[in-house]
Amino acid sequence: MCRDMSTLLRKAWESVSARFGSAFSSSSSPSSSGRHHHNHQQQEMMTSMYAQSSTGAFDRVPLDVFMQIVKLLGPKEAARLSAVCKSWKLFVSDNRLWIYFLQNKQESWDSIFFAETQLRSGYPLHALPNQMSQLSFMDIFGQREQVPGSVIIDGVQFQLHPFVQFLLIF
Amino acid sequence: MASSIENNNEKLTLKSSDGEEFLVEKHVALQSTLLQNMLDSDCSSADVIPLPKIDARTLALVLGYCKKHADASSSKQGELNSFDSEFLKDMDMGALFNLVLAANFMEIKGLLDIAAQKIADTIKDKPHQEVREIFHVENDYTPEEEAAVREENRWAFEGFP
Repeated sequence: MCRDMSTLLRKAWESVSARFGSAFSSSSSPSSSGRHHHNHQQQEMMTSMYAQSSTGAFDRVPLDVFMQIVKLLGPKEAARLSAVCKSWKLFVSDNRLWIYFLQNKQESWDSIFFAETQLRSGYPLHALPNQMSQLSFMDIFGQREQVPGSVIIDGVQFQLHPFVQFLLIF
Repeated sequence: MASSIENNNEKLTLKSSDGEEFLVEKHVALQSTLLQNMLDSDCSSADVIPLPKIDARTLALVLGYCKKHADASSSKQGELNSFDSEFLKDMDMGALFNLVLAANFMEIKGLLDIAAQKIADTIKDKPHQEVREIFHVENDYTPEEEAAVREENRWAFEGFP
């Protein structure tokens, strides 16, 4: 069970990581350990992904530095930055950022992840990486923020009995 | 001639984007992972190392930070902490961004961390309209689109205009 969970987590991570390529430095992956290394030539700048509008002073800033700043701000500030402009919304909606915020909350990350992926995919418990990449962990975070102890399945919120929550964890 | 080679082992020369050269002691340069890797791979220690992305004003600041941290070693963490907070105090936004970019490029983690924290502190608790003004970000939302984004993230906007 424990091993399955970590495999699932890794698959989910890979699927969301693949979407934005090298935008995040490798050190932000939970599976990677060791020293921070990156190729300067490949570092993604703020403007190169979404050139339609100016990100202002951040135009020259590599995306992983911007993400470091957003992580320091925390989830509430990050969500509000989505109203600054379209490109900032794209950056702060990144699932890896919200997985990071969910992992750093008090409640068990495993139970959240299990509930969101397994209940959504139904029984038998198949969770394909390409389905998981469609989950917005930013939306999930926001909805959970409003009703603690709930899970979101296909956009519908379920308030779970504490005993059911307990069952989901084990 | 021999003394010049010896000298090169102790110091190296960095050249800023605007052509100014800085003679730096090796133990100070080692604060930068980029320079450390260059020295480890045994290249350029005798030559001038060009830093085409970093201007002289920024490089002088960066090297001031590196010198302080290299000289203080690990014994005086409290002193270093107060140096760090004084270092960025009253720095204008342009200089701060130059510093972030230089620290990122030269891979000086401590400096990158405090500069990123300083930018985060500038954003914290400000309404998004004010964040736009501070960083000169162009608003490309229509009023309707902006209202929709706010509605999607209503939980985060409580108490904000």
